Amino acid sequence: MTPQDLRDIQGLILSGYGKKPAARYAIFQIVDPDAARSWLGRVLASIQYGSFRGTRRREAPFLDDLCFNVAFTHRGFRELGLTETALSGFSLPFQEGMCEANRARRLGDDGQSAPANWRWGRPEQPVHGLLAVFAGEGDAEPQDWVRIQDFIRGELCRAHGTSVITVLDTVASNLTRRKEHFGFRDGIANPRIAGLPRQATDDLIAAGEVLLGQANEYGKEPLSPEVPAKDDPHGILPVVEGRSERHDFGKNGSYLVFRQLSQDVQAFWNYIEEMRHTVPDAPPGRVGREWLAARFVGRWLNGTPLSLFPNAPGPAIEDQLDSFDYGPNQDSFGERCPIGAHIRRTNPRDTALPVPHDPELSGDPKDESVRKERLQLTNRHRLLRRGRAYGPPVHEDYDIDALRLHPSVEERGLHFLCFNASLSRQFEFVQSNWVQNPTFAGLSSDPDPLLGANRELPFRAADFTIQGCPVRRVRNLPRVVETRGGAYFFMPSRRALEFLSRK
Amino acid sequence: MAVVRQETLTVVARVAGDPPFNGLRAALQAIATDQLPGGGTRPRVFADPALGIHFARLVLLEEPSGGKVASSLIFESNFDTTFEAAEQARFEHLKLLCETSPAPLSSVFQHCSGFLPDLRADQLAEALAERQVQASAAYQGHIHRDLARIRLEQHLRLVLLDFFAQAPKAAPRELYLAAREHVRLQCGSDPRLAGLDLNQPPPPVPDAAVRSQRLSAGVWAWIQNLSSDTVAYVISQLCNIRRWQKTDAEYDQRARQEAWTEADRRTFVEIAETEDRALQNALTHVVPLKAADRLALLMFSHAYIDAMARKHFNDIGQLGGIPTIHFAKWLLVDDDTRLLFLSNYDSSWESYLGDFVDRAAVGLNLAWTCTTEYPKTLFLALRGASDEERFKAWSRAYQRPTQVFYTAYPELGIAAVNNNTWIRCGLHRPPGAAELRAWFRRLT
Repeated sequence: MTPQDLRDIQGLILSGYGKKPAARYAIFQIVDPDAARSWLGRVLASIQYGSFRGTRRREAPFLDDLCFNVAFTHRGFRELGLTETALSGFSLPFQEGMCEANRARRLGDDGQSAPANWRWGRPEQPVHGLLAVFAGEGDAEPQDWVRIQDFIRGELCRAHGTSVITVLDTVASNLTRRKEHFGFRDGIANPRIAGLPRQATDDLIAAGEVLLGQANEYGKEPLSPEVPAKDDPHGILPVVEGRSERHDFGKNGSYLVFRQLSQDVQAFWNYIEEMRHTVPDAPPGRVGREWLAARFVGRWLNGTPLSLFPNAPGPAIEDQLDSFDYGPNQDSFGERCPIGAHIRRTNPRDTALPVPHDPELSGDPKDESVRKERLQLTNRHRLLRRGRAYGPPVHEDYDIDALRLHPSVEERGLHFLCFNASLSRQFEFVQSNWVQNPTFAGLSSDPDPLLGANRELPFRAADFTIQGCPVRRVRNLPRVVETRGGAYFFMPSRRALEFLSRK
Repeated sequence: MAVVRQETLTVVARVAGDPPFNGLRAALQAIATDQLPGGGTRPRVFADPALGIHFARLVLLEEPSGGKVASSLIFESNFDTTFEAAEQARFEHLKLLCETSPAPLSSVFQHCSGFLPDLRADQLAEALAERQVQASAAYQGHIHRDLARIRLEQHLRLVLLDFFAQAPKAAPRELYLAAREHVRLQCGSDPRLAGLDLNQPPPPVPDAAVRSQRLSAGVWAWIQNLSSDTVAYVISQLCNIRRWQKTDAEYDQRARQEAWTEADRRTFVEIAETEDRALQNALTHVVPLKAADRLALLMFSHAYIDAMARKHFNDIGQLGGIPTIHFAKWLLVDDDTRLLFLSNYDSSWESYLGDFVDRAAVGLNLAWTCTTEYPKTLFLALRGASDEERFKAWSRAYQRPTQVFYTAYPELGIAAVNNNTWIRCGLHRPPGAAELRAWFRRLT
């Protein structure tokens, strides 16, 4: 990836702005396309791009007080007057949108989570754009949120051709804790894009798994929306290699999945408490609650993986939380981290799919080449997560007894954001084949215990199996996460934004 | 005792008249919506246990009027049979089906040429039998196991899981013996375990040693099963193959996508509406051959795949490297001008097609390389499906909606069907120490 690419890619794709504790997401509609394009032209230079990858942490733009990024839905691009050629060059899931009926069913958005019940992103109230704004440094100050709110109010207004549908708040990200609402350390496993400066991980995926106009894990550039050269008379967009009559609108842009997921913390811990008694191996009391919940998640509350520490939490050493695979820990068959655990099904690493329990069929887990092949297969379904929690924690220290016992009527959850270059092969695949699928990796009727319980399709299932000798099983998982809103966005490159603004 | 096996049949009947075939569509819709209770996709017409149907489908292949090929109605059934001869098995199955559900079948086939509205059951069966098409290559993922056995073995797995969920911690051997005893006792009282006798040897299964041998053969299996005729023919065609791979047009995803019409989009939605109603899906795919001069090459390729399936893959439970297919077959239709592919697979289309690309590109290239717009192959077997986005877009473009799809076990994947059999065998024949560990691991 060239320095020019870095200047072209919007910053949120390359960084979750973890050092900026305050964030808000404004979901908006375009009401006056001309005014919206003018506004876009004005803010273009102030948007955060990935050039920070080439600068030192003590230099601009790290010192910027507030940073923001913009993305649009397919409807949004249409409103902005993007040419039909480009509109039809986006992938079908993006064109149809997250709330399309068949898609919703496949993603598990049924019952309370059905798009008709969403707060935003419902079919009859189409979303056009997203403005994501981040501010602050160190511990969040109330002033940071005020500045973000003022910024959104000033930028998204009728005079600028836009109208806010909703502003989604987040809770301050806290680097020392980074807990999600059920009380688990979160945001640990995230692949990095190969070819970027300053990498400190070997969990790399090809740039084209995230960005259009770059080679993906198959060595091919994903299909990218293009515009005829005549529609780009100023030559703002890059020329498509070998086809000078076309300019690339999608290059260095990325599909952004946004889902507002509410979490029922009390229901989760009450269920754990109830079920703990039914599992003969679970230790008594509070330790047993953490033990069972850790099987569901695949990590202990402090983030240490079960595959490394099956019996009790290990020391939470920051750069060791994610440096593991299952095979080398004698965990190919789920005897440490259950096969159906949340982290194992959202990133199976070197788990043999779809039949881990049959080494004759799937290859010997001790064979290094077999293991590498599995990792390669998994890497074709990775997501770059950028989400943040919303709503106040039930308990400020995330004490698991308090989480269970404190009644709370306030809504809380996760604004799940992730980037990928192929919605169908990455996000939708992970959601339907790994998260929702009750037969994932040879299981019988086990959906993801956090995200997938009791969905209609492919069939209603609510079990969780703990592999071992003997195998244990809990039944009747409750639905503890519901979708409250969502949309597919595309976060264009700087050049694509400039092109849109000049239309 | 007669050995139960699975057989497959395909009927292709010409639809009378011109599109949009509203009457036929309504009749298909009526069959599709008359479902057994309890979810999944189980139209009542195919659900009578006596029929022994694992999967069935009815598909309207609608073609523009005045075009080269006529519209047709496809009926496919994958069923249990004890008849040894395939032809007899298929005819008896059709007869039984027509006797069991004459009205629904008449309601759709009366829209086809040569089917009178008031045919008797035996006449209907005759008419259907006459319109059968033989597969040029076919695969079965769980040979030797009929519906009753598949259901029994799944229930056995659940009985074991429930037993172990509460069993006190003990040595593996003790646990195993306790579980075996528990199942033995349950057999007397649980009707869903009826017929299970652990003191007898298990019914036929793909022999474990044969399976191991097949699995360890790897790519050698392909070489071993290459007949000298095939090799000689391919060599004789090398010049043509090289010319074709240079000059053949491949699917232009961008151009096609940019030209999508509203009708195309409606078709995509129609396909999506029929998908993911159960764990399994049906893929119906029809694509014209590139030119008649490829027919011989295609027939050789398919004969090779068919031989590989029969001699190799059927025993393993995976086709190529894909362990998620229950039944699959290729058929030449419309005077050998189009290739029809019908398969029943687990999980989503995206995962199935991903398996094609990631695990089985070579075999698929052989199957489809002679068809229109297939992604460019190198010497028939290389590249092709490895061009991931193009291959998937090509597949979707030639896919048709499966209006009626029946699955007998909407919650059971092929991997589980096969795994359950090994679990059951482990109960009949107490495993040794090393095998015991592997047996426990199968209880996922």
